[in-house]
Amino acid sequence: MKNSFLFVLLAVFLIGSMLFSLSIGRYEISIQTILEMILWKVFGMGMPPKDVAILSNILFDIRLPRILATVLVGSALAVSGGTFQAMFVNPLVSPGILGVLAGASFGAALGIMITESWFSVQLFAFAFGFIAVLVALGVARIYGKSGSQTILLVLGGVISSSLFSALLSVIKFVADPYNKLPTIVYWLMGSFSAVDMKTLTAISLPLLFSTITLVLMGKYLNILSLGDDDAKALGVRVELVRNVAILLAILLSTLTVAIAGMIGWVGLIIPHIARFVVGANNRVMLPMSALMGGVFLVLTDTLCRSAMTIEIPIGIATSLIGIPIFILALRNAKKGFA
Amino acid sequence: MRNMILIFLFPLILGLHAKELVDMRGVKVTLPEKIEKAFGMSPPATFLLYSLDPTLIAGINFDPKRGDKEALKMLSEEYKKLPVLGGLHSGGNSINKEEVLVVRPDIAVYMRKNAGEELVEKFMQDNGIAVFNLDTETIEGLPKAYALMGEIFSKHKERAMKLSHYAQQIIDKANSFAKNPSVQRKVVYYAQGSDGLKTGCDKSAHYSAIAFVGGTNPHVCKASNANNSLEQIPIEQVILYNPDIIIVQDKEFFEKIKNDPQWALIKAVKEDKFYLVPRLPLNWIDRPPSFMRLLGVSWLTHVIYNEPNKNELKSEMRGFYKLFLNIDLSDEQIEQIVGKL
Repeated sequence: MKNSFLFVLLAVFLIGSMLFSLSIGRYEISIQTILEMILWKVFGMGMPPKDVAILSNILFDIRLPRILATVLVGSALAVSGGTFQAMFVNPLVSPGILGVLAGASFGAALGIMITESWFSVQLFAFAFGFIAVLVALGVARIYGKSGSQTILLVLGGVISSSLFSALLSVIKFVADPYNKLPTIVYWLMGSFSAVDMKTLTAISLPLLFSTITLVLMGKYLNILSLGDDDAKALGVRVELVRNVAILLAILLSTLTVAIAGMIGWVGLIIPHIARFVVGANNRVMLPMSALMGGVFLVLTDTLCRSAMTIEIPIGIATSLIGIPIFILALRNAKKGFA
Repeated sequence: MRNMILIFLFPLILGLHAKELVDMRGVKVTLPEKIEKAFGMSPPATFLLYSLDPTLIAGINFDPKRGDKEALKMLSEEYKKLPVLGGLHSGGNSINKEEVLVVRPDIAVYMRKNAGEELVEKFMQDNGIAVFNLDTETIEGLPKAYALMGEIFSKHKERAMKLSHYAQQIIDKANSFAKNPSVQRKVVYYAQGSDGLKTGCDKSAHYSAIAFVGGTNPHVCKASNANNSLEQIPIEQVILYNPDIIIVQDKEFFEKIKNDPQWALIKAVKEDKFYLVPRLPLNWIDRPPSFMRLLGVSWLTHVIYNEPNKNELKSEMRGFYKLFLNIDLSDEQIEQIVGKL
């Protein structure tokens, strides 16, 4: 009962944040004008406001796709982080645990260096995110079935992350210093500025599908966090559930990197805050994370694009805002993880 | 008596061997007796040497294969075979000291920009390599830089003076627009990066070629220190700036801007006044800021004021490529370099 009230509250808050974000930007548009615009454009009521072309350009071509993308990416990162934390039964795990982010960064840098098109850069980021995870899984496989599977996976992830970080440095070292190197550096700081309707439509389906599927898998993730043996005893096909969950969580994090570059902390802190509010039950915690992640990123990105004449890289903002929140959340960590 | 004569002659004898010259940071440098090979410690310095005579270059700053392939085709074969010594660029120091000692240039030229580079100068001097500061990175500095190179490489004095005069002529012509109060000022936005949203501040060195011809940078930074880094700005800020002209560095963005609804209502896009910076064999206005900016300045006055007109610009291009790069341009090459004028 209490939870469903919270969900309604957060959903309202998310929609409110999106409308708020729509009204904020370097180009000043009053709330009244926006309401007139929406009434006229969506419901065909009233008179079109003055300068309708430029207003519609800013609201619907520029701000709207970006707001939708931040909500999707925020939810995706939070759900993917929450899933990893549940699977590894460890609150300090983030979406980068299996080397995805390092791999995707390397892929994007490689793409920037050897190709001329932004689409191929995104493709490279996506592909190498997966390759890095395969490396991590391969390393875990070398040790076979001895020892705990989760620890082997973490170890594989650490190795794969360092490998791809080193390779990224190699790319930075050999890239054309005039044009390519600054692009790589900027890309690594993360930004939503390149998002337009085309990118948004291309990524929204897989993002939505994976986020929703993971949210629905909450029940199985609960059982997984009891440990492999107990889960098997309860009749859950541990391997299958784990592989599907890993695949979807990785799909989510690589897609976010392909769209917006490196965005840290969302996948780590949002599940924590959700757990603090609704408890560790993944059936409730994951959808809560999705809503909170959307709110957090849409508000942070609004700040990034409107606070100054320059745009603050989103990766920097999420870290700077996320760290104090995380410290606060840690104070409450004695309530326990599971 | 004999001793007296010797003492009297001593400074004269020294004077015959060692020539002193004041460099562009105001430091008096004693030049070695014989100067055959020079090390340009940053790409602008290396290319300045290239324009005087490619065979003067002792070594280059990075493997040319890392740059543009089309550009590589236009550069001389000897240049591509030179050893890579590293350099001071992209905010780092990649100079390989041992490689420098193997190659042993007679003189190292560059322009000191930060304190860390003092150590590099010391290393060179300790090993008997003279260090000479040449302002290679501002357009105003080029005539003097060429003239000083004529002093350093006395065999090339005549050619150096020719290049120096040419540079001065271009500067005078650009000033006739930039400093003429009756010429109408244009707001010129400098779009960099594949999203076109990276730009430089009004006082940034990267904007200096556009500022040089009188373009007004809408992106004015309050910080008193001229910030030379790229700044990412929101598209809404560009809409507010509403520039008359957009100078584009990235080819992919240049293709995209025509059909991108986010840019559609900006004055320069509506009026079709956006231009891709030519980059063969070196960028004409920036990254690196080389002597090619002399031609870049003419190109900018062409796109901003339509002066020189397109035929005059074409013939200026032919003359410039022949004089500075020893390239005879064909009509196809001209179109490849500047697109349709």
